[in-house]
Amino acid sequence: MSTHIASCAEAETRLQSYVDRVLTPAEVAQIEEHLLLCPPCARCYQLERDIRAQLKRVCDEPCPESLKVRLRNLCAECDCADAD
Amino acid sequence: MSALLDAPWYARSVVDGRTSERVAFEEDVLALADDVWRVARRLGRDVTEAEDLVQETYARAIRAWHSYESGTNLRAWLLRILHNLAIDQARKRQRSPEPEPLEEGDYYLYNRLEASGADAIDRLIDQLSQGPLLAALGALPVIFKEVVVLVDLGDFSYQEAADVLEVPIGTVMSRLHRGRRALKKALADGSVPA
Repeated sequence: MSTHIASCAEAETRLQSYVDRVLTPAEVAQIEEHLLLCPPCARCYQLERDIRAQLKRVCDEPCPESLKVRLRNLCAECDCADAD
Repeated sequence: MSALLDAPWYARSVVDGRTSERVAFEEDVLALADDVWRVARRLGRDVTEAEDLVQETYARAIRAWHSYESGTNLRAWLLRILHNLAIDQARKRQRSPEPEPLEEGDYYLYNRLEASGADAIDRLIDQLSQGPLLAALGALPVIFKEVVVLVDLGDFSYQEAADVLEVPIGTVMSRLHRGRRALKKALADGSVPA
């Protein structure tokens, strides 16, 4: 019984689970073996990883301080449902 | 009480007439403002819309604070309110159902890049700059966008995202796959010569 990944198509279907770290150790070993032997799939994996890292970087924008002040006031002013 | 005296003026007034549980809840939700903002910023079309979404989320959260079960995931609870608001907004904006992106096969990008030569992916990686990435994310239909935002930006597990969106975990996985694929397609269309 072979545990090798038979094709790039099969590797691609597992890439998402690999990127999200939800594979079992045995599945991780299989996809890593394939990525080591197959440069095009390794590039696809790199792309997945880089898109994710870059997305995080460009979207890392903290809540504006002025909005935080408004939220705090909004919390303080809302007296609804606090009686029970 | 020294903590209260050290607090800014707007923080000092919050204890008036409210129970300590309520004040603690307010502090807990306010501590999540950055997380809520990052999601709202991607779901709203611009800064104003994102600010409105966040304010409405907090207004609803405070009104419903008694329904929050202490000890459960507050971030997921808060983002579920935001999700419901964003979905309502998207429905109002567009009466027809959300289109499903990408009807091509699963290997569209793979085939496309392979056909474009070995360094096509390297070129794409080099070009992952802010403008095209945000434009591609912004263009995704909301049901795909919010899964990508929760998992890829918020580091939510599939289960946490499923809790926020109130869908099965399998739906999270397939929407995530389709959302990411649509994102890659938009990026590839912008950088890989046809």
